[in-house]
Amino acid sequence: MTNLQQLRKGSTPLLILSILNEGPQHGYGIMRAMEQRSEGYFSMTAALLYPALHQMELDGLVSAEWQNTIGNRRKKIYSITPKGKEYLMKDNLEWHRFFDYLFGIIDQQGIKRAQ
Amino acid sequence: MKDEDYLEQLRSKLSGFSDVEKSEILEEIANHIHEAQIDPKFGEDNQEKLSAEMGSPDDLGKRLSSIYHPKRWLEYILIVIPALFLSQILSALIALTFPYNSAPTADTLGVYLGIRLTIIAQLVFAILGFKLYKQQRLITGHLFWLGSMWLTIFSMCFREKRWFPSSQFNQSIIGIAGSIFWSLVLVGILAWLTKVLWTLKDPQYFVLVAIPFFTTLGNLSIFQKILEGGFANGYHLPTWQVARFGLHQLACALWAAMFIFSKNRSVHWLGLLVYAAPLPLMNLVSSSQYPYLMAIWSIPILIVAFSWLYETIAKPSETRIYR
Repeated sequence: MTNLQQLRKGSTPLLILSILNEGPQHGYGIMRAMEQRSEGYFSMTAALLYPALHQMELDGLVSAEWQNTIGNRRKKIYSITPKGKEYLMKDNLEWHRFFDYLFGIIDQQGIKRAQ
Repeated sequence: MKDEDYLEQLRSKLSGFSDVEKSEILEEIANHIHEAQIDPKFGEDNQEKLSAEMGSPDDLGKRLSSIYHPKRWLEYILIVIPALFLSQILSALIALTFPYNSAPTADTLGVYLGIRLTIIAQLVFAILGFKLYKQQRLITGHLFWLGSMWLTIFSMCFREKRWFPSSQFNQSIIGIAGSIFWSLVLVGILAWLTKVLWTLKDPQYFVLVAIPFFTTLGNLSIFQKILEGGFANGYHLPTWQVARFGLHQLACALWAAMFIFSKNRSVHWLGLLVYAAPLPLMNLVSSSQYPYLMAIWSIPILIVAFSWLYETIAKPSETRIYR
């Protein structure tokens, strides 16, 4: 796994929680929203998304509820929990700090090289 | 890969999961595929795009298995050990706490203290069961102990005549407050049990909770009959034993093992039958002189038998997976 892939994997809960923070969604809806908002940059397979969702449910970051729909089908709808909101807020700050410092260093190096 | 093949391959990778867990995972993934197929924005080449987007079923199965490592033996211990030894532990506690009495449950203090200690112990087990549910998705222990706790409180209120103004417990403000408190606890637990069962929507859990309810109904009916002067020679249950172990104790160890460890739904139903049958059978023999008591004691066995039959005939478990 490349460093960038690791970074992406680490950001999965933050991405999912950000989408669920705007309202409950099922797995397919989360996948589409993620794709649309990132213009296709963050595309995730079902094999990655569902284990992540189930793990987050076990950790209490999201809750899930089965909802009946037309045609005797059921959808598993995920919602962000208060614990998830708290996590989202903290993680959001951490990522911002991480990138601020990262780009702070990268940009300074770039400036030096240019000089 | 065809949708059915994908789901079938995924199913084969979920070997460590129970039928219900498998069914829910497969239903969620089947629903994802269905959503993609009906989504107009998905594009014309949607089958190819869908295959790529789903990822490998082996990968998905492995990842899910790595998340869920249900420690089913913990749930088994939580049910079996306290169920087998609770009365002895409580008797020992009472005997240690108060001046020794060879029959601690025979004196007034013992009766009141014993049943309250039982409720506290059941509450602890129900909380441990809830932790198992939250961490491991194992709900049997929580339902078993919360149901048992509700019944113990109900039996206590019934025997103490909490809902009658003439009860000795309702002669003071504190006593009345106590009666209101226990009634609210009963309503609260019942509401919670209903919510959990409604969320699970699994008939086996409904039956699991229903069995002790009807067993208690039988016990209370016998108790009432004794109060009315029935069973002139006393009420005695037969002592059926297998190699020094009581049938009831053996059944307790066996049903939990069948229900918790097996991945086969029919074995679960058989486990529920093993859970439901011993006490009613013993009581059917002892209360044979009163047909209505026999009818009441038949209910737990009939509930399991009819639910099993209904699911086998009307709703085979396979239909739960691809509905």
